[in-house]
Amino acid sequence: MIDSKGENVGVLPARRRKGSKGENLIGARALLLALATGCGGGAKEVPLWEQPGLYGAVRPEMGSPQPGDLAPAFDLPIDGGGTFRGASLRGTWTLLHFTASWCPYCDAEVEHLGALATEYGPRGVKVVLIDVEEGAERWTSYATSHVAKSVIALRDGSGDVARRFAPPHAQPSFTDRAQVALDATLILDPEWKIRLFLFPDSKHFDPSFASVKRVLDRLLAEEESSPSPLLAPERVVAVDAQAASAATGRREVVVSLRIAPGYHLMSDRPSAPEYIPTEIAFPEGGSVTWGKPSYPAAAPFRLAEKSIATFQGVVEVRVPFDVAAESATVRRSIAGTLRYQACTPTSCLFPVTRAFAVEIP
Amino acid sequence: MTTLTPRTLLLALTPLASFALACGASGVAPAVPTNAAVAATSPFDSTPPEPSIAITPEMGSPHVGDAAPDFELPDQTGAKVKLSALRGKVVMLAFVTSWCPFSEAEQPNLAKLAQDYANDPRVKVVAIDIKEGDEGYGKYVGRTPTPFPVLRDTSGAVTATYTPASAQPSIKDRATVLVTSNAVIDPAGKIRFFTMADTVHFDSRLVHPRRAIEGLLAQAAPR
Repeated sequence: MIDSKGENVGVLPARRRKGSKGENLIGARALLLALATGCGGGAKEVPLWEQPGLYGAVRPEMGSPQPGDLAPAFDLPIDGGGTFRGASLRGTWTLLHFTASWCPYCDAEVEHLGALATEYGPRGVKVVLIDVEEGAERWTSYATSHVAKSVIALRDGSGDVARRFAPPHAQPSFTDRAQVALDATLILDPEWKIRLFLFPDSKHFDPSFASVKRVLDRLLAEEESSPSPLLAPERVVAVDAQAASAATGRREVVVSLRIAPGYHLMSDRPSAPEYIPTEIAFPEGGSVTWGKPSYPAAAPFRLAEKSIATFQGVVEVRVPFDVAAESATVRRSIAGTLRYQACTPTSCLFPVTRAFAVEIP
Repeated sequence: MTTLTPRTLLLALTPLASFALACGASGVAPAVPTNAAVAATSPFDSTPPEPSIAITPEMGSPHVGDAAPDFELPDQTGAKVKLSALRGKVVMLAFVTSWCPFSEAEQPNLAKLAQDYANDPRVKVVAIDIKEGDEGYGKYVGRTPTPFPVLRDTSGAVTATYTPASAQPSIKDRATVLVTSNAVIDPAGKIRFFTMADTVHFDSRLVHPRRAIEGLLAQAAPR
């Protein structure tokens, strides 16, 4: 492969080389199997962009991000207050689309996104629309009249998020790199890995996303048909901790636990003494004093004849804290620990203790 | 055999790739024109092997071979430009807007193209700005590196006469279908080259329209 300076760099960078055959070319293996049966061997992977309707797929030479990579992280302010954390989408399949109210192609697609969200919502797919480089007023008025409520509509006013989704060699003639991502469509898996990354293809323009739906169907079917092996215990829960102000005025850390679909944790007050409770702890001593964690109500889980107290889905644990006056202005990162024991309906995993960081401003 | 440049290699391999994909060639690897074959420098900044999406008869009219619809529009100096008054010249029409990133990327090359033919009485290069207010039109005119005529189609009505009915039928505002389209009209007023923005093979350098102009000039004055 030749890089932009014309130097021969041999192959893809090491980070991408790993697994590139099987994972970068998403579903290529599955498609090949289908092709190979009709072709009598000589199995070769068909790149995404040679598959029907996927001509606009990001190609490896464009650089990262590309299929097989983890999607760039992002947080976006919600107009009217608050922050949407991209990390909150982990654990579910996400269809991500970049748009602008003035873009004629995007506009032709936007109503179909709503239909897509309605159709795939029950299968655990979230549809997220990010508006690129527009002011709040213009976007809000467009979104109100054009974007279905089933779509999570966000605004990237500065274009900083879109810019992260622009591979360096895609549309090299564009000086505003945020515009490269405009009208792009991505499928992210529950681990936030990019499984499809399509740029607009005006030649085969299909506002109804038929090809994207075909890929999504295939990915979901693969996941549903192959009983996935058990997750490593550490991967059952995605942890995200944020300092916030409670309604009472007291400051607190909100620890969000996103529990993988199909798994449950023993609650903080489990149903039997031998069960291992979910427990969040912060180090004692130092300039931060921690209050007693407040856990949400447990969700019942049927186990043979009895019901046990568990956590499922998304759980928020609130831990109040005070900062000693003399160090109130110091920003610090504190490591907390989370201990839990997870099960599926048929198997239980070893208990695990994990560290996570929280910024105390 | 001629020199095998990356581009000729790519052109040579493309039909092979399609053939192999159709399972006709047992054991022949689909020749994926990646890596070295694609380009020498930045792989996606080279000349696209083919022109952008051609406007074909199936899309409706006008298309290549049809008479170019006449119009009269003002440029940024207020001067009126009437297409039929340009008979005898090769005319390049570039449909643009200030907001389209493809138009923006193409603009320096359009300015260069216009400049290259500025003193050639056989050629006229103009842009047509589609349906923009003063702000958008001013933005487009203001950011050009060297001035060239930017005609103003405020209502989009002229552009709409160039929009074939079945081109991008899902786009409701018919004038915007032609954003970043390029047309080359021969001295008799016939459309001889007509493409729409091709997001995958974007010819930002206008290599193909330039070739079309040169081809028509060569025909008009064969050596």
